[in-house]
Amino acid sequence: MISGIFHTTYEKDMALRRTHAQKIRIVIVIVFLLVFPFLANRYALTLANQVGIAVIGAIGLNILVGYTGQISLGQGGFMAVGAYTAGILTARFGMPWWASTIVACFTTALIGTIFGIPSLRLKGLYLAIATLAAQVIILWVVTHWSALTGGVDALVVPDPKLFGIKINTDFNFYWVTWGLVGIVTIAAVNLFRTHFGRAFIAIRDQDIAASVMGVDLFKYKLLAFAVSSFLVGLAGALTAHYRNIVTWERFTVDVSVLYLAMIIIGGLGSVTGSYLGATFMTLLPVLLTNLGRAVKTSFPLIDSILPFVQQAMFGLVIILFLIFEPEGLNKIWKNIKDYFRLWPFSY
Amino acid sequence: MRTSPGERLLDLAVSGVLWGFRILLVAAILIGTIATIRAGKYTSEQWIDFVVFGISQGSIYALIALGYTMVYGILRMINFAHGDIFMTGAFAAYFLATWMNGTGFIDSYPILGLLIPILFAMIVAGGIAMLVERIAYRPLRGAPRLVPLISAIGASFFLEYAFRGFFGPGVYAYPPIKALEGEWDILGIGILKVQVVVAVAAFIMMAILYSIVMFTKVGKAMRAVSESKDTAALMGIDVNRIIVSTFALGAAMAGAAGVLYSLIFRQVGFFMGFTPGIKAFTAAVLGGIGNIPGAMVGGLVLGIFESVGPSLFLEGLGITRPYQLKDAIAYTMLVMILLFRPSGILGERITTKKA
Repeated sequence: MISGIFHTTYEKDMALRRTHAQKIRIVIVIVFLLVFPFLANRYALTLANQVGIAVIGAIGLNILVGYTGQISLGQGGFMAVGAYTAGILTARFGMPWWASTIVACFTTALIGTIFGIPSLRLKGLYLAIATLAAQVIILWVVTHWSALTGGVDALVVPDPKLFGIKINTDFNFYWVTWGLVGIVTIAAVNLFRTHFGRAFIAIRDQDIAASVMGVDLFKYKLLAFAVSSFLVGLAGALTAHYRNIVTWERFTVDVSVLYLAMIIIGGLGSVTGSYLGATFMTLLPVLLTNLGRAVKTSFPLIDSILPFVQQAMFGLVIILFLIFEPEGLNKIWKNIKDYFRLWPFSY
Repeated sequence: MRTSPGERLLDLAVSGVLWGFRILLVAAILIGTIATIRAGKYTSEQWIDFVVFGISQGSIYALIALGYTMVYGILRMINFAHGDIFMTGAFAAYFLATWMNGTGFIDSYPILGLLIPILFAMIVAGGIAMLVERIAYRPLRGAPRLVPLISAIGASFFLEYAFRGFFGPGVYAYPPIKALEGEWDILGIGILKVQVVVAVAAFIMMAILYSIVMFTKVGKAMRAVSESKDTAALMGIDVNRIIVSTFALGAAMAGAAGVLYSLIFRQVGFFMGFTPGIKAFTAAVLGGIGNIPGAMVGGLVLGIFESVGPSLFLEGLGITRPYQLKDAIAYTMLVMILLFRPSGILGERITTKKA
């Protein structure tokens, strides 16, 4: 009778995929992702792309908030840095989209690190406010520096091209997004098998203890900001190339809250959680809209209020998850797995 | 903890950069100020106008900041939804005042027409804050510090968009009060009536709050709970009740501030709480969070700084249209205080336990 998963060698304990079932699940997910675009309609592909971009952003934020314990409300601002860097370089200077994306990632990492400097002195609430200030300052610069960003007007970005093929359909872009999601996932999972990742986790759990153990807080906190912003910048740059248009409205505080909601609902400190949260939060509005349509005939009032209440739902969902399942969807997923592994003899 | 010479050098470099930054900032302010004064673009009357506007706006910030500071004092948490509670107060007053304006009540009894909406806003805001505390904060009281903060962000988001859902994304105009239009002549200087009334009302509210906290039984209990929840409970204080009344009291102040704010700016909208909320938080931090007189001082300082600052030192530095940078001043100030003196003007040094 198996009562749990116990590893008897270090190799097994350190392995990326620890169990047989995990391997099977990963294969199923990959096969699904490969087959999906051929079966789905355009609308589903659009959603899939949005989910993919959200997953990258959520993993980025989760590295900072979930793994390193440094709260950030600057997500929207950092995404704006990524999107505008990529957009400006491609639209104004004719840089190929992949090159501008790479530059955007590094630029965002740099800016994120700069705004991460206060984290050396500030914790928790104060850091949240300082990163919120970063968000406000970045957005203010974006809307007022018209010469560079186009101010409040939208910045139009040409279609990306790869090997001479225009990536202007959802079907083509799907491969770019999800290819990058794959790379980011492998990188993120591996990050927490290295000493960098373990240092991040040590800082989250007890920063003073970590510092006593020889973790240089200065270095690793900034590194966490850099790595996290790098991925967030990637998500921003992808948004720019995917939408062909960059406007400041896409990067407001709401976005910061939305991403925070994603990782809380998905599960802090978990890559799987980032997937679940990003998917859930991107599809929630769609579900709500469909729900509204379904009940339109019987309850016309709900249909008229629903579009506005959608965003309010985000707030409510955050609170409810914090109260009833603080570890997020990831925990629910674990419970389901445990239930079936131990079935029929739970306990 | 740091011993190696390399790390000590790094520390030295960091503090060097920070000091350089401080000196640069002070120098920029000084140079800008001197340049503006020498240019002599503004008359002394205009300067007084700036200051009066700063005081009336600062007193509103102070009123909101009181709520932040009191809740922080008791629960060591930032009530992120406070700015939105301010908004609910403004909305409540708007609907009542519009109805009263329709019946002609405000024109015939201007003082009551001002006081009744304020009272109503205080009650509504207090009630909503109590609900928010009950639903979003109380179940999470034992959780790690970050959790209530995130829950507060959720509550803020919920309030904002629920109001947008019910009342639409538009901006409503607060009904005009005729008795408050025009200027009063004080010592030969014309000052807008609204600003005087707002500042006076805010100061009265602050005085009431201060005496509640200092001289009543509830206030004494509040101070006891903020010292130590456990000891207060041992002394027979119902901690939950005190926490709820702190929320309600702070929210009532914010609700009143919402009415005063809409008297000056005449606009009521679902997003109106965000900027004043952050600025009031800045004010609370500026004065030393957890410190009630500090919040009042911080609000006034921020208001005056924000109102005088753009034309005083930004224009001197050759920045055109400095008023657009008004909000940036507040945010820069916030980051600077958080970095250099997180304990604020009147605050004690913040220990790691509280931070």
